Amino acid sequence: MSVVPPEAAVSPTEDPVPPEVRAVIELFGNQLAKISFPDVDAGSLRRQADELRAEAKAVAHARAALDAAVATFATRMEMLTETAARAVAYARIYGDGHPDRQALVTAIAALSEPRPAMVTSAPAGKRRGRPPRQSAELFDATASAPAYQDPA
Amino acid sequence: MRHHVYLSPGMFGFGRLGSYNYFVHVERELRARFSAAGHELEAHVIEDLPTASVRRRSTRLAELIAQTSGGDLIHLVGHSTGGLDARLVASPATCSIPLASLGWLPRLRSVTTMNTPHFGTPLASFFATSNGQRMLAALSVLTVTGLAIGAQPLAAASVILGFMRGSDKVLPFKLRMLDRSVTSVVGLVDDARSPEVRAFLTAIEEDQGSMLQLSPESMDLVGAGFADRPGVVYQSTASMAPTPKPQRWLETFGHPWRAVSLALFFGLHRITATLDPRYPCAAMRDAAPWSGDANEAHLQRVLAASPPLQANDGVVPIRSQLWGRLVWAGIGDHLDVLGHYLDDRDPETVAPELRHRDWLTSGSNFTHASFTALIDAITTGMLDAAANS
Repeated sequence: MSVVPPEAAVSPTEDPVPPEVRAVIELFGNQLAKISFPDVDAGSLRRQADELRAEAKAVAHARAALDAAVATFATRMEMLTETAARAVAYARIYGDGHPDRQALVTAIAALSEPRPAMVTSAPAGKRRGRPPRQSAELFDATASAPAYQDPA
Repeated sequence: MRHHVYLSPGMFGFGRLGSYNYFVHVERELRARFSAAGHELEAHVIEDLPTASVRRRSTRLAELIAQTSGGDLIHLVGHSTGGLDARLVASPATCSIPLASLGWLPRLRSVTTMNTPHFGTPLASFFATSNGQRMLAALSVLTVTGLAIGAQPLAAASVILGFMRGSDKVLPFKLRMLDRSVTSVVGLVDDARSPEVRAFLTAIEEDQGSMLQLSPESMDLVGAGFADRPGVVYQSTASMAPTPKPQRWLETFGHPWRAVSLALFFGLHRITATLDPRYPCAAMRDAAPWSGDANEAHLQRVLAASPPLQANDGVVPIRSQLWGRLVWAGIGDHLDVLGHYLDDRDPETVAPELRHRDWLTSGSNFTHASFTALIDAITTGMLDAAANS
């Protein structure tokens, strides 16, 4: 009876299990299949590898959702900046027509021109502490996360 | 960068009357977009008679630009007949305007025509008749009072409607009623402005030169002589109002003004839909109306089908409105495109000068979103024209 390893369905480049670990699992799956050490045997190794792959999938989904959210965030930021720029323009035009409303005119004059802002992948605020360790295979996409481009 | 835009009114328009600016919404929206894009825009409204000869109006336009544009970039925006003023003043073929008034032409970047009768309109032929002239004056005063003071003179509108319908046996009586109604509507305007409105009406009654010029037969000749200026971007907007249907009348139930206003609009719409195959008020290629691949595709995309020759905005057939690049097309009446549409916001929450007032009830359901898209399209074309020059 041939044993089909669960990682066979995953291409090596997408598999989060490092190649050296895969080699260990393969050894325990074949030549050491009937040998069991304390807490270590073919089954425990395969189970942990499967758990890692499941987590990798969850991370990939979360990353896709984050990428989508960042893209939406960038779009919304662009829209808000454009609307705010137009709002300032409207306010100035309105203020020009109402020079008697001195407080309003002063407040409008104090407004600064809304400019497009850079959008990063962490819009909610600054992360504290050391950055978590990341698997190179899993987090290569970090560099390609869409960043806001100034339309000008 | 500093730009000047010259806004030229057309049929039913009036430039400025007292403190009310006919282009108030277009001017505000254009300035806001130019400012948001980092440009300065100075707007000028041509205060000439909307019914006067196109040649005379364009001469006045050229003089105004020469006096006020400095060394800045220039854009012309004409609504209705105003678009023809802009085309004539920009045309290399014009010889009616003194050269001394045309030194600014190298700085002209764009000509925008909004619902302009480039190929004429049957409504002009109607207004060119002796009875039509009085109708035009009556409708103009209705527009002035409606837009400038927000009044809805139901009785006067009903009289005008009666004038458009029925037999001519009672015409003398109808004419007397019409004149009386006009007087009563002018009376609605406050004392400070009524002299201006009276002077405006008198002028309209005395000079309706453009009505003869805008007839399909006359524009057939004009079209052969107006050439576009190389290096200037020509862009247009075009709209059509829904055709009369029983459903529209039901929607006016309980609103007497809307019912009369809708009937009045449909009267204009019906006259404008008159079709003479010899003068179809459209650019034609072979036997079918044709405005170029891009424009036809645009019309099909936004109107779901290629509009027929009869489709119109209540004043101008839609196919007569197409000139240069069509930057916006949609459902709307002749004055909707200037921001004169039904404003459903609570009046208490909007400053008086920012309120939109409807002209006539056309059933177009033109919205603020439509107006925003239209102004966005025009502004983009103007800024692109300036950037690419």
